[in-house]
Amino acid sequence: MDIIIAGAGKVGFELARALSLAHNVTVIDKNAEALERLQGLIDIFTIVGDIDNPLTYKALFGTRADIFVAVTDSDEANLLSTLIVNDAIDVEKKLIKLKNSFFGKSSILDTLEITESVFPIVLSAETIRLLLQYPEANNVKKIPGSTVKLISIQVDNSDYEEELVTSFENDQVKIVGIERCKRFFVPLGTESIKHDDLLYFLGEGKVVEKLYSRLDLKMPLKIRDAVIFGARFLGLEIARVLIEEGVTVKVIEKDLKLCKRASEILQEKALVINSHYDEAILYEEENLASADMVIMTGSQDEENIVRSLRAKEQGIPKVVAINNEKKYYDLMHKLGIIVARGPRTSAYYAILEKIASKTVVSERRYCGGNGIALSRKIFPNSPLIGKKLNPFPQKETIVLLEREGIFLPDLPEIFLLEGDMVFLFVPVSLEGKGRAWISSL
Amino acid sequence: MDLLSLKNISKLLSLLGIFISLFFLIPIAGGVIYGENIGDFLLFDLAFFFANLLLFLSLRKHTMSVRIKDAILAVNLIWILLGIAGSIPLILYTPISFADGFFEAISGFTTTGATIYSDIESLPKHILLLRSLMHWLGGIGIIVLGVGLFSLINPTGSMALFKAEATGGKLEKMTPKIRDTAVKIWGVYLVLTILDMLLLMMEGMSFFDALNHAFSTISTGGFSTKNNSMAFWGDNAMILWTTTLFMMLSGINFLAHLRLFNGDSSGYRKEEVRWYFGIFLLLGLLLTVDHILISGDNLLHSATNAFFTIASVMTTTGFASLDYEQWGSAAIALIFLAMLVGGNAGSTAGGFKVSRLVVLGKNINLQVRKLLHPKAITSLYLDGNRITYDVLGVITGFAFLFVLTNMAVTVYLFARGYDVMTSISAAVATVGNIGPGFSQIGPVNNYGFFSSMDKIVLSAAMILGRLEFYTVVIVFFRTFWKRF
Repeated sequence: MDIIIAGAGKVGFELARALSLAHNVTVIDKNAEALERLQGLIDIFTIVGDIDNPLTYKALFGTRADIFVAVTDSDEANLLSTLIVNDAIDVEKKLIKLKNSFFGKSSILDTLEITESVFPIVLSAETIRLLLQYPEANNVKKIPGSTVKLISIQVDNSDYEEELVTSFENDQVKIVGIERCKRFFVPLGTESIKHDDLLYFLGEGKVVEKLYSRLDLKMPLKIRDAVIFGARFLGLEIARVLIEEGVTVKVIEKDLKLCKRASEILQEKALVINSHYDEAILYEEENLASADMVIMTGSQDEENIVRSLRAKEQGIPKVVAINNEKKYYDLMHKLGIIVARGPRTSAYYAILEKIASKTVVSERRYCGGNGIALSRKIFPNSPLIGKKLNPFPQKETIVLLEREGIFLPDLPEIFLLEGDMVFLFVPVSLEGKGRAWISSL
Repeated sequence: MDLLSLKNISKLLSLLGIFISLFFLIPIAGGVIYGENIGDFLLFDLAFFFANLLLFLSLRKHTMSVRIKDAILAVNLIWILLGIAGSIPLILYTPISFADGFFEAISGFTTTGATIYSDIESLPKHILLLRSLMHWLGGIGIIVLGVGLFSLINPTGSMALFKAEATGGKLEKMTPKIRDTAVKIWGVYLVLTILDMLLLMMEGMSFFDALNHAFSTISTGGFSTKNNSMAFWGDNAMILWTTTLFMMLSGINFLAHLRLFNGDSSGYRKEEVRWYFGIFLLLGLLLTVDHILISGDNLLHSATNAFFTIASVMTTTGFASLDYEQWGSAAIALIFLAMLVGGNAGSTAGGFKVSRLVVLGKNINLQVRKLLHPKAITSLYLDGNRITYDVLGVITGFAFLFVLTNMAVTVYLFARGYDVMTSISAAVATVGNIGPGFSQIGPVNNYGFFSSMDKIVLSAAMILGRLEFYTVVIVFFRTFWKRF
């Protein structure tokens, strides 16, 4: 496919890298230096220029492309570029990243003939909603294309008597990862669960919840009071979600202008507090330590980490940080912070899924990126229908086949049907092999 | 004051005079229909009409450019002119002094509804109709009427006049031209009046009584055609509930009704309207319970009269269905509370107005929040709109003037030798444009016994309340009269 990516920021770069392996990618950005660096790393064509300037597209006049993706930080530029592209190039599919969720509810996107839109800020805020819906869990992740979730639970109880992994499993729930002493592994059935383990369950939320009582969790039963650090777009969107879920919210922000804007938007529904002078003193002044949950929404991971550590020290049970850069994911996780995908990562995965929705294998990283969940849905007319699964050659991995919420036993004997979901859970060291296996089932 | 201002104001006043004299033809026609002697009234009206016409014609070449000071002065003079114009027919046909007539006319035009007549039923029908008509014209605001009219001859200054009349209330336009909004509000006003009249007639009132009471109800005035006000229909629960409903409707911002005509009910979902009905229901329920406990009347009778009374006092109408002073001190306290509430901004009701109470209440809440959370960035919001400190300043200033005026009138009346209850309630009832109060001016009494000077003071109190203080008070500042 011929793909044009407008914007070579973090999202644009990651997309170009992932897509250039199999497709012809053209990247447009005004930053010539960034494009040069990009060209040194991956095999793409680049155009220097503003994406909302028609002249930029001169080199592409009259050509055709399969997909145009606009992923700059400016909604206006992204919207305008799709209009210009309409005029200059014969494009089949147009994908756009937008901050302002209003566009999603209006008919503007249809008017501009934009095929697909991605609202990364909304996506990130929605991951926080999941945490509210499963307050006792450590973290919750959705699996694209499936109703089952990846739910992690910390075994807090020091009197916990060891039990076998299989004693928790049935045809609706599986344990697909354990972190013990900061080391991740995919467990075999003979493994036993110990005190302080972080367990990764795969299953429907309601089914997993039934197992909580056996593990004696210390997480709050319901999130009542929450603190959000940061009042930019993401902070406000998360505040909106929390308020919708009935949580009492305090928003902390350093910048006075942002505070005023936040106060204008949230009005009396949340308390906006300016932390210009000293953030630490706010813990005392506003009694932040009594909150059930604190969420760091900054765009700088370092800052989010420092704030998270301070919050943990204050004894807040749920400390969540938005992860903006992959390289900090593992560190955040190791420090005991609950990590939520930042808007950039959300945008990257969402766009990737939309570009090749029917062929691509979905992947979710978990446990600080040390575990990888690969999944593949069997679509109608798939050549895999009626075939059997080849066994995955490596030990310490799990292969599952989900059919209508049930994980089927005796995999080698089963013929694949439409709507089935194939899962593979591997440690990060087997990432390449795992992806190759699931792609070539 | 220069010649230009004089010409501006004269032209405005003459135009209004012409308009009023045309409206006065309605009671004159009424008198003719009922076979009454209206010769003097007609003569006066013709003289008034031609005097104004002459003045207007002599100024017809003068291009108006109403400045804010002209507008403020004009509005003040308009009210004095109204008092005088309205008083003359009353003096002509009833044995009263000028102060009596002026008081009655101001009470009519300000929609207060306080009367100096003890035997209303003996008045000629055209005088009764004139009193109700004064309510009706005053209710919608001579100025809203004028805006439509004046803008014909004065395309630039009409907003200044509107602002001078509607101080405190936020000017909310629905159409680019204020005249179009004014005309539409007139339409709503007319429709509500006709609707009320037809319902009252269907429920047993005569055409004449229904017309007068509809005028009086929609304008939240309170003049009745009967000596004992609505108590005449005390056994007809339907009439009382209908009147309660229309009083409450008239106490809502007329733009909300106008929106409804356009199929948009959002005007009723405002915080002010919610508080308005909330307070009404709470006070009504409490008064019902109190009434049942004191009188032992049945629930329907108690509720009918309790809700009627609260609506009547809250919307500053001032009808009476029972002598509420006999319901005991708790009832008097509840009714006094209702007197202090008032209607909605942008309605025909007077009083303190619910929106101001809500904003002041929210401000206290805000100050408490700021004390508890010193670093919080918060603001005042009403219906999602930020209330700026400028607006809050206007409202607190209003609140202070409201209290000050009430205190001044109370102290004056007390010094004149009236009892405390009469003094306080007369102040609140006139400044709030309500009408009846307690003790000597209770629902079964009238204002006739006050001396001429008292009546002029109370008339001033009514104008102050009607114009919401600033417009009147400003005239007494030296800076107002400075040219530079």
